Amino acid sequence: MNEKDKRLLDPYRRWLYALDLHPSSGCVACGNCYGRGPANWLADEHNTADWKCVPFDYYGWRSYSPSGFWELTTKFYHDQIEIDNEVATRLFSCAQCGLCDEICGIVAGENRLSEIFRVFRAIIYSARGPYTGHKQIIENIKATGNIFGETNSTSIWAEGLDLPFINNEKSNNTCLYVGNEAAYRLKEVPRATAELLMSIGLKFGIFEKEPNSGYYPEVIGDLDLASHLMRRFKEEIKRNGIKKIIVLGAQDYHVIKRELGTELNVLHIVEVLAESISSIKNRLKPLKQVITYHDPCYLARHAGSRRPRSMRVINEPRAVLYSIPDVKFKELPKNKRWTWCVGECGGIKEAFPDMAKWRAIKLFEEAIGVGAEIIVTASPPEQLHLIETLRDSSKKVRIQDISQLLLSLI
Amino acid sequence: MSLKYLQSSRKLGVSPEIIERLKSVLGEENVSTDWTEIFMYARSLAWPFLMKYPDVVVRPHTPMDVAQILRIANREKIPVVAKGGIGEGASVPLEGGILIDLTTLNKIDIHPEDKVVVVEAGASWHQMLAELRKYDLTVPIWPTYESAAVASAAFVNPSHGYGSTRYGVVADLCIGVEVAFPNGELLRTGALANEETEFGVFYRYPNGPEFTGLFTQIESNLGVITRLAFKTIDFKKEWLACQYFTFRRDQIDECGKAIFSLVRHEIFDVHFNDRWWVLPAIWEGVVKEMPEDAWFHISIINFGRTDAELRAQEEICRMVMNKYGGKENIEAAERLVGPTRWTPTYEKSNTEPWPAWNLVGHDSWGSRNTRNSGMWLTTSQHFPYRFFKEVYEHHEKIAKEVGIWNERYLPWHDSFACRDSFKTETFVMYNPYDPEDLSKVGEYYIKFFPKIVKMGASFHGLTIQFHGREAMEKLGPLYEWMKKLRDQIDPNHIMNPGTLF
Repeated sequence: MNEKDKRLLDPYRRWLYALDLHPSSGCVACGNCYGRGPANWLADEHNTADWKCVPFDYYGWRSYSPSGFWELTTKFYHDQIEIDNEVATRLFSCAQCGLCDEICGIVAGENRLSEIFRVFRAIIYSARGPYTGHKQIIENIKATGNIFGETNSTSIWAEGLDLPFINNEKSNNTCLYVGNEAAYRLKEVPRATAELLMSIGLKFGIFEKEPNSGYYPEVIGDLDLASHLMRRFKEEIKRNGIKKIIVLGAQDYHVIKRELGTELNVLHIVEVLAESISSIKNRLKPLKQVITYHDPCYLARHAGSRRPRSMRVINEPRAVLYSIPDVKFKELPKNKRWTWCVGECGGIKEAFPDMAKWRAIKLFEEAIGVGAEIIVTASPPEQLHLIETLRDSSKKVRIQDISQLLLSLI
Repeated sequence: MSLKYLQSSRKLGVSPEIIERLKSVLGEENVSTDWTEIFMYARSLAWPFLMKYPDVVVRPHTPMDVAQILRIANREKIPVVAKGGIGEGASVPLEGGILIDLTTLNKIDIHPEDKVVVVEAGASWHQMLAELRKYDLTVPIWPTYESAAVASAAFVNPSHGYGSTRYGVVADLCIGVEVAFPNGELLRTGALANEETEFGVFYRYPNGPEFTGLFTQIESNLGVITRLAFKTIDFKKEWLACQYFTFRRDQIDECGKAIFSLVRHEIFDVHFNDRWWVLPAIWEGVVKEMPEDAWFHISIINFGRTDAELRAQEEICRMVMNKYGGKENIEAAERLVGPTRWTPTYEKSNTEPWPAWNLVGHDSWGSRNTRNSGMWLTTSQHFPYRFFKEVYEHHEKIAKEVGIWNERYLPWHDSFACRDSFKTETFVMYNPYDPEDLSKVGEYYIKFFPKIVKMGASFHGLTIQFHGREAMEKLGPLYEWMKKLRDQIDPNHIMNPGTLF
C-alpha cells in the first residue's frame, strides 16, 4: 500500500483493525450481512431475509457481501493481499446502496461501512484505471461535463418554459438542479417539476450549464475528478449567489447536501413539495390507480448524512402522496430505511448490467404483488433505469416521478 | 499458507476433472475455486486466527445434491466439510478438500396443525423463527447469533439460546433428521422416518430405536445433515417481559445460587454476564444507572401467556433475587435486553427494537462491544451449576496470568443458564493483526482448556484440534465404539477429518 492509499484509508482505520489505535475493530464474520434470515426476527418493522446486499443477493457467494468487501479492504490495509481482478470485481459489484450500514452496527459515528468500500474502490481505480463499463462515463464527463457526453446545454429540457437562469434576479437566489439524467433523458420530469413549482408561486432559476456534482466519478473511483468537479460546483454556487438549491436526483442531493449542507439550504424536491402541499392539495383531482412509492437509497439511507438514523427523507414523499384525494397508496414490502436498491447506483448499471436489471425486475414484481399500477419515484436516475428495464421486460406497471404525478392531477 | 500465496500461487488439491464433475452435478454457478471465495469460507466467528482453506466451495440446492457431492468425494477420497453461516471451529476444513455451503439448502415447511416445523439444513434459524411467528409459534430456543446461524449447526453443536433455561438445548427439541452418507444414501431418523405415512412427521419415537441423537455433537463425521424436524410451542412476543439484576464481585456464591434457583423455577431464560460485558454500554452512555460495584449481571426473560402468569414469574424472580441479594435494574433491562413489560415503546423510539435479539444491530451489545474492543475469541462449554464459582475463577486466573484481565481485552463471560447445565462462553476481544494480541489469546486458550477438559466439560462445537484429544478420550469405550461406527459408515475417512478422530 502506498502513502496515497494509506491516506485515503486512514480516516477509516478504526474499522480496519489498525495497530496504532485502540479501540480498533472490523468485521467479526458474524454473518448478519449474508445470513439468509432477518437481522432481527422479533422486530415487526422489517425482515431483511431476502435482501442483504445487491451482489450477494444476485451471486449468493460470500465474497460478494459486505463482510467480503470489508475483509478484503482490511487485508489490503494490512498488506496481506494485492489488488487483482477478483478483488476489483467484488468491490465494484457493490451498489453503494447502504443497506449494510443499516444491518451492521459495528461502524458508528460519522463513518459508514459503505463508505469504506467506496474509498477502497478509489484505490483500486488508481491502481488499475476505470472498471469495466466505467471508462466511457469518465471520458464523457471530462469532455462534456455530463455522463452521456451530450454537447447540448443542460438547460435544453427547459425550452419554451421561459425560466430565468440563476444569475437573473428573478431566480430569487434559488436554483433547481436537475442532474444529467433528467436534463437529457427524462426531460418531462424537470419540466413537470418546474411547472409544479411555478404553480405554487416558487421563484427559482436554472443553470444554463449545470456543473456536475461529481457523484459518478466519486462512486466509481476517480476521486481527483470528483474533487475537481465539486470545486467547480462550489465556485458556481458562490459566483451566482445561490442560497437555496432544489435537487431532483437523490444521488446528487446526497453529495451536494454532504458538501454544502452547512453553507446553503439544500433541499430535495420532495421536501419542497411536502412543505408546500397545503397550497396544492385542494387543487388535486382524485387518483383512480393504486400507487406505490419506491424510496431511493440515497434519500432513505444516505440522505446527505453519515449518521445511520438521522436526516432520512422518508416521511416527506408519503406526506405528499397521502394528500392526493382518494389515494390508494400501498407500501412496498421493502420500504423506507429497508428499501430495495433497484440497481441504478454505484456504477453497477454500467459494470454489471444483468444484475442491475434483475434488481429492477424484482421491484416490479413486488409492486405488482401489492397491486400497484403506478410506481412513484423521486429520483430521475432511478426512474430512467426502471423505464429502460421495463422496456425489456414483460411486467405491466407504470413509472412516474412524484412531480409528474402531481402535475397530472392538477 | 499466506493470503498472497493463496491469491497468486495456490495449487488446487482437487483435480480439474473433479471440479468439472461437481459443476455437472450442481451447475457451474454453484462451484467456486476463486481465491476470494476460498478465503471467505475459511473464516469463522469464534476461531478467526485458525484458518484452513478448502480447495473448492460448493452450493447444494437439494438434499440429493449433498448426497451426490459426498458420493463423488468418497469415490475420490477427498475430505469434505459442511459449513453453515458462521463457523465455530468444527467447520474449519483442516485437511482442505470440498467445503459445502449449506445455506443454499434453506427451505422451511411449517405444519401448524401438528406444531412441527421441517427445515432444510441450511435454513436460517432467525428465518425459521420469523416464519413461525406468522402462525404464533416458535421453537423456544433462540440462539443469539445472527441471521447466518443455521438449523443443522444449531442441532449439531448443539446450540443453546434464550429459552434454554426452560427448554434445554436445540438438540433436545429436534424430533428427527435426514442425513446424507458418504456412499450417497439419504437416511431419515425419528419423526422424519414417519414422513411418508399418512400421519406424517409428528413424534420423535416412530417405532424401533431412535437414532436422531447419534448425529448431534458428531460434527458431520458420519454424514451431512440435510433436513431436520422440530417441535414448536405457541408464542407471541407480547408474552415476554424482561428483568435485570446485578450482584457484587464478593457475592459470587449468592449469584450462583440465585441462578440455579431460577433454573429450578423453570424461568424461561436466565442469562449471565460480568462487568466486562456491560462496560461498553456504560462508556457509550447507554446505561446511566449502573452501580460501580455491580460485577455480575443477570438478564431474565419471562414468558407468560397471560398477564397473571407473567407477573407471577416476575415475582418469583424478585423473590429469588431478594433472597440472595441481587439488585434490580429496570433501565438496564430495557436498554440492554428488551421491554420490561410489553409496551411498544421500542418501536416508537429511535433505537433498534429488542436489542438483545439483534447481535450486531446499531443498539446491540455485539456491535457496541466489538467497536470498543476488537475481534472475538470465544470458548464455549457446559458444566454443572455447582462449579459456577470454580469455572469463573479459573477464567479470571488465566486471564490475569496472560495479562488480558483488563478493559483492553474485555474478557467477559456470556453464559446461558441451561435446563441441565451451566453453559458458559468466555470471550477475549483482541486485534487479529497484532502479534502481541495473538500471542496472548493463544496462550489464554492453551491454558484455559486443559483444566476444564480434565474436569469433564462438554463442549459446544468440539474438535480435538482445538480442545484436545482428551475431550473425546474421556468417553472411554464409547469413543472406541464411535471409531468403529465411523469405519463402517465412512471407510475412507473423508468426513470432516481431524475434528473428532
